Amino acid sequence: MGDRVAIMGVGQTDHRYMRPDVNHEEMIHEAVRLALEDAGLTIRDIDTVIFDNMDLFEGHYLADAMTVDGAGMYLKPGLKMNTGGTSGGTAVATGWQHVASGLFETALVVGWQKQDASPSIGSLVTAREPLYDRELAAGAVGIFATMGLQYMQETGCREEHAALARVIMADNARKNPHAHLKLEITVEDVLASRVLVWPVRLLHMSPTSCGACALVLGSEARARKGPKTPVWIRDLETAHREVSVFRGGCVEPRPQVSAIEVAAGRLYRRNGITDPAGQIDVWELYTPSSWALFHWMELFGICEKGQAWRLVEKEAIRLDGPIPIEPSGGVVSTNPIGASGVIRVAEAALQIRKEAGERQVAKDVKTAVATAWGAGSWIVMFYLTREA
Amino acid sequence: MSDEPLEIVIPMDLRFKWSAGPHLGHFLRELREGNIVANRCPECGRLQLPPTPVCGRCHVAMGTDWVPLSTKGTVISYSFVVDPMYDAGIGDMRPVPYTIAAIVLDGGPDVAFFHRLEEKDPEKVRVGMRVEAVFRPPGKRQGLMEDIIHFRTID
Ligand SMILES: [Zn+2]
Repeated sequence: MGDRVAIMGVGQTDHRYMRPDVNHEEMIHEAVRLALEDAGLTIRDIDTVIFDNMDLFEGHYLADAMTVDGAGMYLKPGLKMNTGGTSGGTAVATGWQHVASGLFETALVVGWQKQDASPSIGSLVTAREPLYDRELAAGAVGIFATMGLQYMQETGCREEHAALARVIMADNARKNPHAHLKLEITVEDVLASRVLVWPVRLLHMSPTSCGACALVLGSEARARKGPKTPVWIRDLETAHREVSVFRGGCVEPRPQVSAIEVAAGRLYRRNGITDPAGQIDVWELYTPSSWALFHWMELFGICEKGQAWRLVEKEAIRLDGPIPIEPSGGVVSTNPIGASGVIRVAEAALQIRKEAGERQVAKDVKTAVATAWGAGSWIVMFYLTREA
Repeated sequence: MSDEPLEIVIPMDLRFKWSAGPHLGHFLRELREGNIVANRCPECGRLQLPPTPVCGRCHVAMGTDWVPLSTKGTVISYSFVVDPMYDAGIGDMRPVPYTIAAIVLDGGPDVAFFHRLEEKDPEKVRVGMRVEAVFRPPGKRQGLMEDIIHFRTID
């Protein structure tokens, strides 16, 4: 399993629709500075830097090279990660592997996106194979539409339930000073927002955000000397689906194989987790649309198939509920994509430290799961604990 | 001197070329003739649509065991695109609304084909409905997915 690795420091910007006041490097540096301060370290204490964004979204390559100074990579070893929606999760996983290997004592992970730089849909359509897929692709929205429709057809879920899930996430986001959208909305407001690809409405989709998030990871020896309670990355898992499922908007005839179920199954078996809803105290899932939440809850084993909408109906996923999910407000409230996977881990760590402020969940958080998800059903998942 | 934030617009017009390769290339040539073909994994026997070079599960070469599928099939999922999306082919917004659907073609039980439906009335589209591909006239096909205009409802 490798050496123990802890999160020593967490830093993130206040995420916004537009950041015309700063360039890429300046925005990245805000998060890096905060994470180093939080860890009680300076850049001299950092052995390696793992950097990520979604290339092309800002309209240029070599974003890592152009921002070396602000990110703290000057003359340091490091890597740039770029795996689409999961880029942030992949960067944290890579940082973990560097420290767990024993080759590095500390790693700085930096994820960011500045979506005011370009129309990101222009980059996103190029993520589809051009000859077979691209002409028919309806972007990410189409994937969540087919998910939502399939879910309504197979369960008792109605549009109201997806709207309620969105309202709960908005209620959480208003308690998170870093969140981008802090909407004061009702179920009726969600149902009145315009349809993009039915049944996905505008309010169901994540926004395009600007922001950065950084983590300092450390070995056990280093983490125990830090000023903050170490949060242990006890385990992680990744899995990918085959390309043929990506085609056709993730729709295939039954039986379907889910990368999430495969990854979660492996991680739960290694860690003796037989009752995820009972043994995991808080969830920061990467939910780009409120319609995806039901699928995620069931695939991660939080409840039986076809039952997630009932838990949402009972509002069990609220901050003071038995199964708190997306206490930060989630990706539907804040989506600087390259940072989003890092933010999930950062927010889960803050919950374990009990430093989440107004968005702290009512339960005594000893364990958390944070994930990143991307098109192609690509999944990265982390199991965080308070005890080493 | 004002200190207002300065934002500079940088337009780019780029052209890219993509090789179809022998597997997808065969599929597109067949499409131009009005046919839809999959290939079959020599190890696990499942079909791949569009034809692929490698079976992800068995990690063997898929090869050229071409399996012709019917141009008729059954809808397993659908949605209605209401908000305009960029058409990557022309770089502009598509006319809306339109109906997208995943269709299991007769003879291809383990693969879904993704295309548009002619039917735009939400009351008339349902899972399980029978549909048939409508191709462009023979001289107007180019070996593109657009060679199929849409799928029409059949009884
Ligand atoms: Zn096979």
